[in-house]
Amino acid sequence: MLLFLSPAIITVLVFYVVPAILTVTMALTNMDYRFQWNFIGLGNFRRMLNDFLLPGILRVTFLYVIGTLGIFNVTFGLILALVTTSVGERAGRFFRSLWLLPRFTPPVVYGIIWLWILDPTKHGLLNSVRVAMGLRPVDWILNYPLGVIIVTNGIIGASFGMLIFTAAIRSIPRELHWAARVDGAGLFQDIRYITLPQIRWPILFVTAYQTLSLLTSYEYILIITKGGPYFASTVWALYTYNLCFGGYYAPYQFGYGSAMALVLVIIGLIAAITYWRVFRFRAMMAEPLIEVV
Amino acid sequence: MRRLIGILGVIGLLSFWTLAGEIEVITIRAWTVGPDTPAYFRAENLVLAGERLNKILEDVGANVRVKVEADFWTESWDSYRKRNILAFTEGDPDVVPDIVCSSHLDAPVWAQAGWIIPLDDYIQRYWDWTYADFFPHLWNSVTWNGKIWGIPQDIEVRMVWYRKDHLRALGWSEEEITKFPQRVAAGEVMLDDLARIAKQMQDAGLVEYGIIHRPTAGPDFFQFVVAYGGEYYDPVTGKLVLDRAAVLEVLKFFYRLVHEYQVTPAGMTGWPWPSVHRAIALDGTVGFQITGGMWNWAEWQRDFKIPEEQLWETIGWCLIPAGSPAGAPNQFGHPLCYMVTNVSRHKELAFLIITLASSVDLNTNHSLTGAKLAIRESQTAYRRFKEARFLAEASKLLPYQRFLPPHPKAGFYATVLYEAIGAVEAGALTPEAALEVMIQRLKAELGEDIIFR
Repeated sequence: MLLFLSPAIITVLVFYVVPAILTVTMALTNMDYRFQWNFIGLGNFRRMLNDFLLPGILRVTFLYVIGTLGIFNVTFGLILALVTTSVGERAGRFFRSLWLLPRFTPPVVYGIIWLWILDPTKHGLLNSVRVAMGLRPVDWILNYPLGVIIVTNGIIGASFGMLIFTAAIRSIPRELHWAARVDGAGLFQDIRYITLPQIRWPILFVTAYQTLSLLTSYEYILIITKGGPYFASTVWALYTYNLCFGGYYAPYQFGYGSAMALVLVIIGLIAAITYWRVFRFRAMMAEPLIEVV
Repeated sequence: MRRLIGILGVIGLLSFWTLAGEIEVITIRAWTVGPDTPAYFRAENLVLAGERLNKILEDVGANVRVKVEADFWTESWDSYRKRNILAFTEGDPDVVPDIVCSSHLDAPVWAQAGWIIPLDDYIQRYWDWTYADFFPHLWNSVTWNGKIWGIPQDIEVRMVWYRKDHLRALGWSEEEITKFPQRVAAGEVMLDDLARIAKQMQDAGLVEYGIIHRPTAGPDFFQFVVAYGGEYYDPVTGKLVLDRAAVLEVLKFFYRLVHEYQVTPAGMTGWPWPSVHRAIALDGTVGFQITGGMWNWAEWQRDFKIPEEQLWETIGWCLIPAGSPAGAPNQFGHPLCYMVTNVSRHKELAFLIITLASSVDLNTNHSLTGAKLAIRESQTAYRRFKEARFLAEASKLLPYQRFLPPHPKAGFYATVLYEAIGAVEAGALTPEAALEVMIQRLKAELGEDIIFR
């Protein structure tokens, strides 16, 4: 039995348990680029309390996660799913494929495309339109740092929700829609009273999953805004990355960075437990009380 | 004579090693960096040095050859350093190259970790042949804790780029334009004068922005500390220095550029590099780029396809002007150097390759294609170098050159200064608040390694 389980056990140990133990251990050291294990107890966590940049970074992280999740990953993903399942099958497939394109694009390429779109000079896509209209170019990243990171991440994130919701909407028995229509329900009533209650579980799943995903995501922010101007778009995960590897002269503060990462894990855990309890995941994932044959 | 003994010594050693039988090939691996693409001779010269050594070995009938595998990194400094550090910590001689080429600021950091070796003894071996001829001040840039950790590979000057065509459009005569750099060097034109000229260009509708600067951290911003009479290093204690008054003046200057003169974009630190290059060199939509470097000259020709004649016609350069009477016009150099790694199995040979790659003609390849200055005195008399008009003209800024100190935390200091400037420009902090933030961050990270004056 153990022999059969060993590939899975080894995988879990090597890729999940060992890194977790290493992160916790490193968080108790002042490890820098020399990778020396100098234990300093809770020194990194004390330092965190005195890090005056952290309250702002926490605020940005919160707004980024809530904003991206609320506007794009769930709401917009849902709208896309509803629209693409309402139109003809071909058109629906075409638009879904279109929205999947950003997800297929390598992150660096996607980031560079956005850099061009948002370029503060007249050469940027948005600014070239403004200039053609006789307006001055706008520095989008300077003026709307949070908006930029929410939109750029959201456009990719929406496709995840779109796929899950599309599958869920398709699995709703058509008879329910027909019955509703016979009873005089309009399109919006159909969505409100039939579709949404039926896809409650996928909505909660996408919300929970994407919360954790957004908490740890930073790659597009790193490429597009570099966390600026002056930390205005720096989220917790990016700050952690920058402490270890970021910038022109990376500080390589692996000890402090690990402590920061650990806190992020704790925040993620709290979010997961909250979703589990508040939204009654257990009840939704439980065996159905009756079986419909 | 010592040169001959040196060469024969290594050849003899190699010949003895493989006295009989087949020819043995020893591979020397090197990692080099641009990131500016025209600097590819940093790698190519090592390969050419290997070929020269092989020619000698072949001529004397030695049964050994050298194969130099030199890699040239063009992505970014950040990723290059990461790559090196991760390899160093691995410590595997099959992964870590024998030679690394990087910033002189990396030398003390990597030396402190024990990843590179001191080169004093090796240098002495080839002193008369090669190293006696190096510009003496370059050795300071690679010396830390009393030892030399790298062989200077190049040196450049940093400068203010300006658009001559816009000055003409403002009514400046050719003589005034020609004498402008001299007036800057004499302290007659100061930083605020530059801002006022930039404002005139902007008001005349010649440019979108009067002044821009680089959108990444770098040693360049210390030039402004010097311009306001500040210090950044204490040679007696070897500690970094934050000169409160001078740094505050620097922050106030950048505040004025954005919020009073309104000649610099508030989001300057968010600009992509290509937009900076295009604005100053190609489109002329800005008047000044105050943190330029001479290698830009090569980049503009190679990457932006701008003919050199056009650059001579439209672009001029000068020192970073003084900011106040207490300060000095100046410019910073950022030498790169070759280092030999601690785990290399062929340290002697690696050093010999570096020495051969430092020959006048090979290094001049790099100077000409990469727009860099000479590392050796005799190089300035070398015909190909002497005939390069740009190099000769740019060399005139050399007497005003300073370096960042080779201190392990100099890079962090540079980043904190840059971020403070970015905060002031974006309006996130006042100059006074930005200074306090800098002090707090430096105190937390550097502890006793920095003096606040």
